[in-house]
Amino acid sequence: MSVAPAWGRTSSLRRHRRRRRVSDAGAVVLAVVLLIWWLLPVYNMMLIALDPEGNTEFTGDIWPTAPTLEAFRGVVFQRYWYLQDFWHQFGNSFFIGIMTMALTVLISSLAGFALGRMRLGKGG
Amino acid sequence: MSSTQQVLAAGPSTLNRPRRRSWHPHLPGVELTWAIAFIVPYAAVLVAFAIYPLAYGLWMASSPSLYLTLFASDEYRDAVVSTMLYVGIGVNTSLFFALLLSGFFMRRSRWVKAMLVVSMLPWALPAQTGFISFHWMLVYWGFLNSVLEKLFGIYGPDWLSHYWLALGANLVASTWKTMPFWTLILLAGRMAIPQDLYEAADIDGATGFRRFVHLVVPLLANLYLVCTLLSAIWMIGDFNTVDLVSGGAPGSTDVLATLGVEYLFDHGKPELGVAAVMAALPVIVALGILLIRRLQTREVQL
Repeated sequence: MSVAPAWGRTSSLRRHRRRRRVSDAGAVVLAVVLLIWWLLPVYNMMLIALDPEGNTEFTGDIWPTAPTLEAFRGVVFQRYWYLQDFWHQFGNSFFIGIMTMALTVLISSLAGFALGRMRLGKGG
Repeated sequence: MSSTQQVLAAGPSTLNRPRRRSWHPHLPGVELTWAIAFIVPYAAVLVAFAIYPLAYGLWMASSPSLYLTLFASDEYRDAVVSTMLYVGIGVNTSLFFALLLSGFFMRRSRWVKAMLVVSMLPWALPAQTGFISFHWMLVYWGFLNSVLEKLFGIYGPDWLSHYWLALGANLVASTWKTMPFWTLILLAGRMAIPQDLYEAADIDGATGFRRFVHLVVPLLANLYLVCTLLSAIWMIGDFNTVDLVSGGAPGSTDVLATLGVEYLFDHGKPELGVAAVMAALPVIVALGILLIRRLQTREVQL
């Protein structure tokens, strides 16, 4: 076994470590940018939802000055005329979602299995 | 497969029984009946919800004079240009950044895995809610201008009243919405690359950028192309983003899908609306054919 010159080895190790540290720091910076990118519209939704008067987002405030769950209460207890069937509509969403899922999986897996066995793709 | 192999594969019982005549080269009679029974629901759905509406649409928009009216109108030409820009820039931006981002998610740290869950939020949220949030963020008194004023002391423009800004807003919103999905698909593609290929590249001294260019890109090329085609087909038919973010403002960011709906409901000219969308059909069919051909290639694949 040949012995590598000690200085070469340590310097390459150090370079490796330094590159690793730069890459980790880059990952953290990227993560912060990505979190802002993903969550900014979500934050704006929250700002609108927590606002009592329905206009925080248009008065120049960038955080909820007087946050309230009044809007959520209104939804859950069906307080407004256009929300009076909220739980019924909620059930409709679930029903449609589950039926779509079940039917899609059933119909396409049957057809996919049959077409696979018939081997249409390989020139019959 | 030779016929001997076929008999062996079918099991010993077929050897003793006299072979019944079959209508299909690979399946004996009974199985063919089952196969047809399995395909019937799918075919019924296809006919009822794809072929019939398409045929009805073509019949509705069959008069050549409709297309003459369309091609002569400025709004249609604007919509074609906007659609080309929207789809062309949107698909490539979304896919390219998704490819880069999938590399970020290959990192082994635990917090990166947690980030993957957060990244799915834009994709998992209802599209309408997200796009309405974008719209309200971008209006003149909206959140974005408030942030700009608070942090930098400048007041931004009315983002949705200038053609390029409004088109850009649509593109940003669409990228925000679709990129997580493509990132996940390309991440799955990257994870399917065998580890020994990375090790071989490592021994050859290829790291970072060179590994990406010479290993990841060639291996993911086919998947990337399939995603591009699929994304283009979806984006041509995209109505939600443009309708809710820019709403067609300032008069010319309408794409074909929103223009069709406008003709239908606002102008009361359903034939013209259907014709506007049907005019994009040749492009969609071509993309579909390309997509199916790509899915069948067996060259470099994962």
